[in-house]
Amino acid sequence: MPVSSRAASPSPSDLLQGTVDLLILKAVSLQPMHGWGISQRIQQISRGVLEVNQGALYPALHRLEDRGWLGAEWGTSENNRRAKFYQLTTAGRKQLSVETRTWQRYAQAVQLLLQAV
Amino acid sequence: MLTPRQIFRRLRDLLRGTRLASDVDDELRFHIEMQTAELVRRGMSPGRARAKAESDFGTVVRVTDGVHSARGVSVGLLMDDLWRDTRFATRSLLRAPAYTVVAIATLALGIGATTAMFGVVNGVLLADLPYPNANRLVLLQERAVSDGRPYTSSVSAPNFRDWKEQARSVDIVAAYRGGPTTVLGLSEPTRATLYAVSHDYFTLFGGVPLRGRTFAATESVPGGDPVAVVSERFWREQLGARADVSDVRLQTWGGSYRIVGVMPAGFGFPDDGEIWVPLEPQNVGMGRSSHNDETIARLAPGATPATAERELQGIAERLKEVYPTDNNAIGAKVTPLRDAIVGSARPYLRLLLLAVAAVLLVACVNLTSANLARGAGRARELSIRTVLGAGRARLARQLLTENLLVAVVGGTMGVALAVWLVRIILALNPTSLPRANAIRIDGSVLLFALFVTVATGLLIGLLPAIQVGRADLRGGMAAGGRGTVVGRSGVRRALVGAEVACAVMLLVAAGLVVRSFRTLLNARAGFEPAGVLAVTVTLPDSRYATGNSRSAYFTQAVDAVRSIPGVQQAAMINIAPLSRAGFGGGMNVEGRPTSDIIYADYRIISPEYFETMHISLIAGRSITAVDDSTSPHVTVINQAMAKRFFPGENPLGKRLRELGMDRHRDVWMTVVGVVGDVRSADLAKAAIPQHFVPVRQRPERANFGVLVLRTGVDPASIGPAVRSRLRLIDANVLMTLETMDEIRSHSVGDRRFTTVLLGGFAVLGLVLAAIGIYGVLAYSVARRTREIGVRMALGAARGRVVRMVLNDSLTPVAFGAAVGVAGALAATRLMRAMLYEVSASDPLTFVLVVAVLFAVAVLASVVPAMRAARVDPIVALREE
Repeated sequence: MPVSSRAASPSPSDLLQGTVDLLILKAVSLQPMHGWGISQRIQQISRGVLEVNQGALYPALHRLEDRGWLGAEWGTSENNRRAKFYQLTTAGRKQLSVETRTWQRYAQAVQLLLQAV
Repeated sequence: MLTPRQIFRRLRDLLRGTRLASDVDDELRFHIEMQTAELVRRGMSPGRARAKAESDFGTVVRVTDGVHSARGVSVGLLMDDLWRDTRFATRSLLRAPAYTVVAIATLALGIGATTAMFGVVNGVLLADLPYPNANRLVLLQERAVSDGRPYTSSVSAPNFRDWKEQARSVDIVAAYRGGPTTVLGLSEPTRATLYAVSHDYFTLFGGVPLRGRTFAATESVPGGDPVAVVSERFWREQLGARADVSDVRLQTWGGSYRIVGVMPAGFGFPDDGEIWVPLEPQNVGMGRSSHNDETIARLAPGATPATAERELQGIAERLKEVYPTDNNAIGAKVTPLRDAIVGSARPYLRLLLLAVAAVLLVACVNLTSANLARGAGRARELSIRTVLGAGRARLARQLLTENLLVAVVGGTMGVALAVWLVRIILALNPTSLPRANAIRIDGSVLLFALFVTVATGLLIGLLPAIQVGRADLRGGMAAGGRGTVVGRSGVRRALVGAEVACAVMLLVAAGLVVRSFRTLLNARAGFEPAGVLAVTVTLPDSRYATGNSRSAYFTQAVDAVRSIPGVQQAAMINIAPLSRAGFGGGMNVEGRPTSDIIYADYRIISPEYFETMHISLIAGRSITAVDDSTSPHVTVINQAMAKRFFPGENPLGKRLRELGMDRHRDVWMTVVGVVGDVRSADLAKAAIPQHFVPVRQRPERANFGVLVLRTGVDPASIGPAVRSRLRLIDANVLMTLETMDEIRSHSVGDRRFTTVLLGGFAVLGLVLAAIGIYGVLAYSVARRTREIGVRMALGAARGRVVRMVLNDSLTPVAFGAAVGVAGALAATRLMRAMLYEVSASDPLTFVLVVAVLFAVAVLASVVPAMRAARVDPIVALREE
């Protein structure tokens, strides 16, 4: 029953939420990582262009875990602290390819629109 | 839709409980620490790095909430929140001690009273009777017609036998009769409650003897051995709990009984039995029209009261055809036993339960109002917490928790109060409530209390929580925090109106009941009870077997007590007025066809009875010493009988003949007098036809009687003298003494109970409403001090200000009163059956209630109004 304060915080549109999911799934697919590591990775790989709103990151991670696309384990971080590590599940891997295809189709459509004079 | 995996995960979260909350916490903190470390690595100072990391992250609370909702419902997290909310609620309640104490006290009172009342209702109306298959037990009665009027009565012995044999819809049928009686043969004469019971009685009520046995088949027949079974208490108290009681012979009911068994406490119906003897030997020679025996049966599997009644009705009709003259039962009535016992109490108890619920409602309205007022003072606090990230829903939940906490504490104290209240109720009222011994605070009552507590807490917290949900919380920070958090005063005025409406309905109901009760008490009973002592005596059968012996005793007894100093007049009657139901039988009137049978109540009296009781003589003469066993038989009838059976004629000189009531079946008696009506058993019911016969002429049914003595002094004071005189005549005769005033008072016991309780609730409701009105007005004045100051500074007279303030309170009161009156007019219609000679829309009561209410409302408004009048404009304007 904890009604989320989604009404007060910026509510992401479905598209935006899907994008965050895609970024996270991709980042995790390379190597299991904890939350902070994932956010750093997204930043690095996109050369600083993409930065996930840190307040939205963790709800997204837990949502993905709840849906079964990410698995989680508690382990020790590189600086010897207790941290929760996420990895891609089989279903997650499938979802990643689905989301990638969807994104590519969307990007193509936008491209077509922009090219139309 | 949740996938199985999701469900599984939620369940696992549930089991992990609060561990999960701290895990999430850890995860988020780890992120912030890593970020801090990174910023430090880039060159920021540790303090600044940490601050930036935290602000970049966003409000931890909000993120946590987001995480929680992403995971779905988790009881562990909920428990964690609840615990936090409770701690917070406790702190904030302790910071407002005045409100907290008043709220808890109000709720303790309201919930306590409601719980106590429910305890009574539960015990009397809802709890099962303590017999096996209690829900299948039914009361069987005969239907008959007397003079065109139908009535129901107990079953006669021959009909009982036939019904038992022929009926298929009931599988066990038992009969009983009896009551308090004198028992000799013990160390001293004792009074005990004895029931003669048929053979199946023990099976029906599930009686397993503690010692010995119940009746054998050979004993439950006419002429069977006189054996008796006694109660455990009787065995303990009268027989010293001896192991061997084979030598004891109980002399009672025309026999000498050997004890064969001991039954456990509380056995049987009614449950006050102390001695049981077989019924069958007592019923030898009983005719089909002697309706003597209470008959209880158990429905066969698959039968319902309706089907049983249809079948028995058919049987009764067939029996009427077979025995047309001897049998006056023309039908049967089947009532579930519980309805028969408690049915009369139902309307009263329902009314009382509604009333107490109304009181609780008024209390809730008061607390809601107080809460809303408190909300204004907390506007600042709530705003700060919003800025810090608490969601709206979270705040609302915390407010609700706070109110639930108050309710739970109040409710717990209320239950303790209820235990005490129930004890008081039982002490006040030993006899009028049926099944009073089943009243207790048990599991179902506690469950009810829990339900009421939670409902109350939610109700009180509802409006404030809604307001938090809708208000502009951040705005409370500005404008010095005096602002717009609390809703418009319209809500509070509506609340005042609501509680006034409730109070009005309560007061009207109580007012009607009180008026009805007072009218009843003043009702002309037809005789003068003040100053009369009633001595009930029961003559032991063994010593007073013949009519002559009984007649001789009573004549002697009346003479003996008449000579006591202080006694002005004395007489005897078999059953005192207003004490209990009498008995009667069929009669013929000379000159009318013998098939034309009239029924009237049968009373046996000594000379000067009417004079002693100040019953008016309307025509003819009363019974005197002249009417003895040698003179012609006479009777005196009451006005009801004269009007009913001799309309338009002069009854004097007419001759009547009893058809079976006493032993003088063919002896005609002449009507020599007509007397005024006396209410028979119930003050509220009109007098029934009664006729009186002299004890010297027809003593056969006078094995018990009541000596009535009119004294000029306090009746109770001559008690000892009466006892010693009567003991001189025969020490074996037991007697009970009561004043007629006490008897009369007992006869209205259940109404008194209802009146007192309802009156109490109404007063309580009124007081609470007054407090509510005062509170709302005081708060309103306090808030508008500045406005009042401005008005006065602009030239408004004090009087004008006072009127404005009063208007603020009296307008909702007026509306509430109007609604209450309308509601009362509709609702009291349902009460009509309970009112005695008072209309359900009695104008006097309504006017009085509204007047009282307005007076109270004005009184409650006086202090705040005066405070408004005394406002110093300069001080008020200076106020921030």
